Amino acid sequence: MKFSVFNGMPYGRVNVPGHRWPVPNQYFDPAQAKRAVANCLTEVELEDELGFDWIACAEHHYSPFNLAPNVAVLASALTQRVKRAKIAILGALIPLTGNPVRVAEEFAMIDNLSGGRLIAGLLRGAPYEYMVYNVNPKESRSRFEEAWDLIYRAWTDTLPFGWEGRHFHYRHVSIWPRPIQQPTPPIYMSGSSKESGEFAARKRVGLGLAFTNLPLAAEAARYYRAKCAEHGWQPTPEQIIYQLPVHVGETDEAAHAAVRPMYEHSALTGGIVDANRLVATAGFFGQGDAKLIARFSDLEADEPRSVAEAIDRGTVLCGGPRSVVAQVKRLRDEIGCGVLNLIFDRSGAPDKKLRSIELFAKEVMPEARGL
Amino acid sequence: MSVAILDKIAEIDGHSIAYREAGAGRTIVFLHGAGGAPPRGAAFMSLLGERHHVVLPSRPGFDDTPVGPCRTLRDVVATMAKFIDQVAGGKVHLVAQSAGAAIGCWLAVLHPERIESLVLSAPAAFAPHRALAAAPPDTATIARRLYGDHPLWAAPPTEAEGRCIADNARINLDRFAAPEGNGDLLVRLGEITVPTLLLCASADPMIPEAAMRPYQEAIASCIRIVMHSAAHELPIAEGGAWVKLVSDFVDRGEYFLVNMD
Repeated sequence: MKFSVFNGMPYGRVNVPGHRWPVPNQYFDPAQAKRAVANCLTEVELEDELGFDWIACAEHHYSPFNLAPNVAVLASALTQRVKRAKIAILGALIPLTGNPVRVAEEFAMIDNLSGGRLIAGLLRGAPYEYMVYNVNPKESRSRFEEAWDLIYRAWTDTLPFGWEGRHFHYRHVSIWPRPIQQPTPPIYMSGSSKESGEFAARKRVGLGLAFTNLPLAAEAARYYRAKCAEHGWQPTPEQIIYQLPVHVGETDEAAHAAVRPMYEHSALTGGIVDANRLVATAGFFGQGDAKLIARFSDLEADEPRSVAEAIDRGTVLCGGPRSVVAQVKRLRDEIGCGVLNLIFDRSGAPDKKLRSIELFAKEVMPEARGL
Repeated sequence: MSVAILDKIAEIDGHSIAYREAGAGRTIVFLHGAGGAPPRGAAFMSLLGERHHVVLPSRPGFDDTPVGPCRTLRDVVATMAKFIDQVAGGKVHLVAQSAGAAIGCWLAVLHPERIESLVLSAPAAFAPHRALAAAPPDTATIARRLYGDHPLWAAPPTEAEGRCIADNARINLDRFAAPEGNGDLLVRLGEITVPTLLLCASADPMIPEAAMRPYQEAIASCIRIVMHSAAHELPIAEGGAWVKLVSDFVDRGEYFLVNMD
């Protein structure tokens, strides 16, 4: 079992009246942003020293939740602070960009800057992201698949080529540098939907499961493995990533108490719930994904109402070290995931967060590695 | 605008060569693939003819053109060179589809004075012979392999045209099979100096990607464009996009690489 820490450079608390998305940037405080950047870069050094396998970041927009709208910029900074762990971009939202070749170039640069430690996540993104750059969600799938093919070719084709597709057009592509890892860095894509699972199986790449729950993730992983078998291969456990929040305390009681407020008041803002509903019901998902359409149509209803419920549904790891090891084992057994991408800021308190990271590294990881 | 397509005959040393002709402007000679002249409902010729003079000969042994004295691929090349002289009266832009590529490349090697530029569209000169000659499992499958899911037809092909395509391929692939997989052409490919556009279909089940590399590796002036998710018969499978690329290349020469939209 491998362990990744997601660090999207969170800005911290913002006192915005109402639950809005996009979050108006009139509330942006440069001093707080400076602290957020410093905290992020200090934390990733600590996480590297503590032995986490990957340090992960991702592209998200218009929110203080994650200050990395261009994830390559953050990842390149991480390459200079993280000396040992892999740098996992999980990921870039490739249907949104108008320029997949630029993504290929940036990822290749990061692989070079990190000495060949890039994990490359090429994702579709959550539904609400389609409002960011005004992309029609009905085109999400075809834009993703074309951008994916173009990026892969930009990394692997060793002669200059042009590209004539439905969405993207180039007369010359010949990127420098190419990735250090040949032919490509390990590639992952999100795979909650059936079409994504089938595509990942066809392309023989890894699967990332995020913003979901244990039953849905287990079902998606089963579907992916079945499709892989149809395409004549089987993924390794490390090719399935499951992402979820985590908080480790000295005891179960202390850990539950630290995160309880998150479940008494939904972490989701009304604005993002509405944005997801609008996009999810406007053609983002395919015909076979009725469950996902229903879920994203009312995300608030899908939110666990207690810590116990969240643990039961596999949407958080929470407890003392021994309980968390058991919870990790359950995820490993039921989903078959070989990598957990962990979000450590559930308590909202910086000191508790750092202690949680330390406890996980020193008391959970040694026990859970061999699972 | 609908451009009329005329059926004509050229007499080359007593050998009657059937051809279609459309439009006015720079002359484009289209060299068809193993199936012979495309079905009449294919829209690309009329579209190309909106700005160019398009000539589409049926080579010896295909469609209504008797095989005549042609016994080898090089005999066909010699006949086509004379055909170009007769119908164009000057330099032409050659567009060679699939199995037409070997003829197109030989013309560019042996008769560069007749050629302004060369477009190789899903060229099959170095593709495994069997991949082209293999009997199709059924009509629907072969149509999908050739034309993909969204072909551009002014009118769908008739059953008679389907039979004609199959007969052309069955008879002529073996009749004009090049010795040693066009090995003699491969060693001379580097002699091509005219601007060359190589159009590759990324979802082509008939021509493996590796069979595209020799052109780009050997021809210094070769530009390769990958047409994403495209099937083999590019002029039909990717009608509008294909016509735009070919027209742009013919019209703008080396400025093809520069976006001036």
